[in-house]
Amino acid sequence: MAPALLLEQAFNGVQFGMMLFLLAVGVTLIFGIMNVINLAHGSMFMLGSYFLMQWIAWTHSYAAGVVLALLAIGILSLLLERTIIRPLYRHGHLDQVLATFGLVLFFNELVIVLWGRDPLYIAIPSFLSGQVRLFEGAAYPAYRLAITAVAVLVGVALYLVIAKTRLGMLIRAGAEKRLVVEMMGVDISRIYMLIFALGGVLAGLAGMMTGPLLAVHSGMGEPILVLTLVVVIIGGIGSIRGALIAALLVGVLDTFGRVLLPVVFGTGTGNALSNMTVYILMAGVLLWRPSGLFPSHAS
Amino acid sequence: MIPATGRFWILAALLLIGVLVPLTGDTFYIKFATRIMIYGMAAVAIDILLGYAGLISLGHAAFFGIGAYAVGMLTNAGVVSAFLCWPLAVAAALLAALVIGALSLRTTGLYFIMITLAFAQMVYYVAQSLRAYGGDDGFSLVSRNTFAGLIDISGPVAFYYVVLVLLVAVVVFATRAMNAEFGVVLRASRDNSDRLEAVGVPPYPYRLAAFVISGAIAGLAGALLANLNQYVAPQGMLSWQVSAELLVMVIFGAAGTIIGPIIGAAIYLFFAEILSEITQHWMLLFGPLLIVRVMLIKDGVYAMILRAVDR
Amino acid sequence: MTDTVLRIENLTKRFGALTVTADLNLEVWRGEVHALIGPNGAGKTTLINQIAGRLRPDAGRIWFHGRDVTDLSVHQRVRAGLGRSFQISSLFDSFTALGNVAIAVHGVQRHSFRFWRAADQLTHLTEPARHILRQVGLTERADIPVTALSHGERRVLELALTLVCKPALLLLDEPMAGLGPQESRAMVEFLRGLKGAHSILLIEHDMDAVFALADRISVLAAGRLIATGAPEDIRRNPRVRNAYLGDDEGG
Repeated sequence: MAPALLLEQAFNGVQFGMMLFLLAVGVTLIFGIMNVINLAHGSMFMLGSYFLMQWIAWTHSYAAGVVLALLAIGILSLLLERTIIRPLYRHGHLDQVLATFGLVLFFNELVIVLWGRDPLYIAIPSFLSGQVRLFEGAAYPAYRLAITAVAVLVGVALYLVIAKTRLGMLIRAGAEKRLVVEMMGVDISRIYMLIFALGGVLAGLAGMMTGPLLAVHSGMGEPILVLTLVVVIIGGIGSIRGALIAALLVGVLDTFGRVLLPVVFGTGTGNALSNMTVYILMAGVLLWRPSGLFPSHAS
Repeated sequence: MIPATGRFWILAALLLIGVLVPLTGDTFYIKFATRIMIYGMAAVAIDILLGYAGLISLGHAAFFGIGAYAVGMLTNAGVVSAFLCWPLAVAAALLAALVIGALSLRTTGLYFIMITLAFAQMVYYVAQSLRAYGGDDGFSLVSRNTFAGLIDISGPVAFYYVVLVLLVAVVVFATRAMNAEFGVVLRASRDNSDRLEAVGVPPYPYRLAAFVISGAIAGLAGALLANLNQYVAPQGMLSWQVSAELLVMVIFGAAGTIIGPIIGAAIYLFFAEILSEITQHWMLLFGPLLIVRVMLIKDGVYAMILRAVDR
Repeated sequence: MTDTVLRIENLTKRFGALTVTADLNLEVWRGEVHALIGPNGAGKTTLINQIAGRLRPDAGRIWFHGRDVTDLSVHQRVRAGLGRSFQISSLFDSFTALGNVAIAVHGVQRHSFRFWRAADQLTHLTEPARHILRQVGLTERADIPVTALSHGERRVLELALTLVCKPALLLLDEPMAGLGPQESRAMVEFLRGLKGAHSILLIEHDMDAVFALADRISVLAAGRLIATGAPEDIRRNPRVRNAYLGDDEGG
């Protein structure tokens, strides 16, 4: 396989991995620290796309659209946490699964009511629509580079916040000892609300950035959510470092699998196998480390 | 001797209704009732795990779908006899449940839920990629399965009774098993897994057995659904929504009762039918309804009925 | 020569930077009541968890009846004759008192993969369960859901569960915890009655009970064994007084 093509796939894999990372951070924090399962995380991804599309239509500006869409997702996440998620902390996993399932059904139908059943498209902003020359003979879409860069920046910012600030320390402590944090006089529900909103915004951001690459449609969040869950299982619930490594692993493996396996095994078997690669990886990790690569002590 | 308690009379009434439904003569109702029974069977499978072993599986659509696909593939390949197809479909689902269960049950809590979901999605994607079987669109069965000329299930009434008999068999088995030593160990493992170990009983083998039995029953239900619709496709059988819907049915009815889930399936399907008459966007109503039910109402319908009758 | 039922050899357990069990060596002799005392946080329950198999030690071996059980799982050790009770009553809350003991009877049979006959009708399960309930004086409460039992009754039932498999060695983690004076006396008498038929490793804070029952006492502080011997020797030992009896008199 030509090196330029391999490189392009490698970049695609990293880009896909970074998108998964944005989603996985939310999941690993919400599942790991708050011990809440939230199936509607994929809905935030979907709504990010829809909101961006709508705000661009109203403001005719990509930048304004992004800002307003992020705001909208943030407000929605806070509202959801306050009204539905917070009472569910006490209820246990089954009720959380069912209630957030109800949210998924609702949001999937809502976008159909508001925007119709047909898939919609977001245009890549003109200043990012070109190609970037990587080296001799290899060009890569500027947009994909840009969103990967944004995700990396977000990752760095997250690392700085978690590792270097008081808030980050509280979040890490919340993962280990909820009681300790409460003893410190900090209102744990504030922290939880923040974490939930952060997770939602990151998911929405991933959705906004991926929107122009996919078709925006009802139910687009769920397949991504399942992949995100696989990432978190491999990385370990509660570990952001695990989420990053697992996300890159999954992103690259999945991308290469889809390209290489049909070549090696033919389209029929190859396609079927490429659908299985990340799950086989997950099964392998589970056999070796049932709690993932970097399990947090809280789990 | 069977005690003449409230529960007995409710069961008797349900069985009577079950036997009499085909006499209405309306093919639509008969098929609808058959659907209820098939989903009810799958819901019973979930209840064994949820209501007794305390395990939340978000991946049972996999076994449901494997049962359906097995029947579809075999039938279209010429193996039309139910005596061959159905046991093979159950065996396929059972095997899948063994593999997935053995891996998933090494974990607990959130991990378990997520892993079962992930494996089911894998099966879904594999089915989608099967070009020879219609990929995402699925495929039709050339005919329903046959019983070597003994019973002809190509018509709605005969098929209805076959499903009824199988459902009753499943219910009898499940009820007895959950009251037997196996069920006691399952419930004990849900109540206090550490204590169970500390009295000398390892929980893992029993949970795995429950998972496998549950998967096999779901596979049987899938085989029956394939026959009912004479059609098999990933979306309606293998999607994660199906797994979640089964959980909803169990909760609507009352977990841990075996009968409750069947009532829950009826309620769910009735709701879906009625609401979808009102508007095609009925999920807009159903989603919030589900949220309200989960957050505000504690008991399933069957539990409420039992309480009312016992008074 | 005394018969050693349990021998702990160089047992070590660390949680991160904290060493909770430090190179511990301990023996329990056949038929004795061996009390394990020490200030809170000394690592007593952690030690029990390692002996019972709930925690894997980082180093060291555990010998039971001369057999190395360090790599056996919890239920395997139970079947070998190593029973333990929990500090906080650990029962099966959706069952009755009789139901709870009957579950423990499952641990005696080879397996419970039976799917047809109703368990509460099976005399091979209910009879031994009723017998144990009689032994601990809970016959009247057999059909009461355990969630409705008093704290003292739950404590007694906790012990009953441990006795079902007739373990050669009992690991008892504060059986007296939360009991009133009358209940404590009854429990002490009951434990005294178990002597001989069982060997007992007993964690307790109730010093009256310890000195009434123990043949030997070991003192644990900060994961380390600081003294082992007859009760009077321990009572007089200055290191022990220093580490322990000074701040926790009477339990």
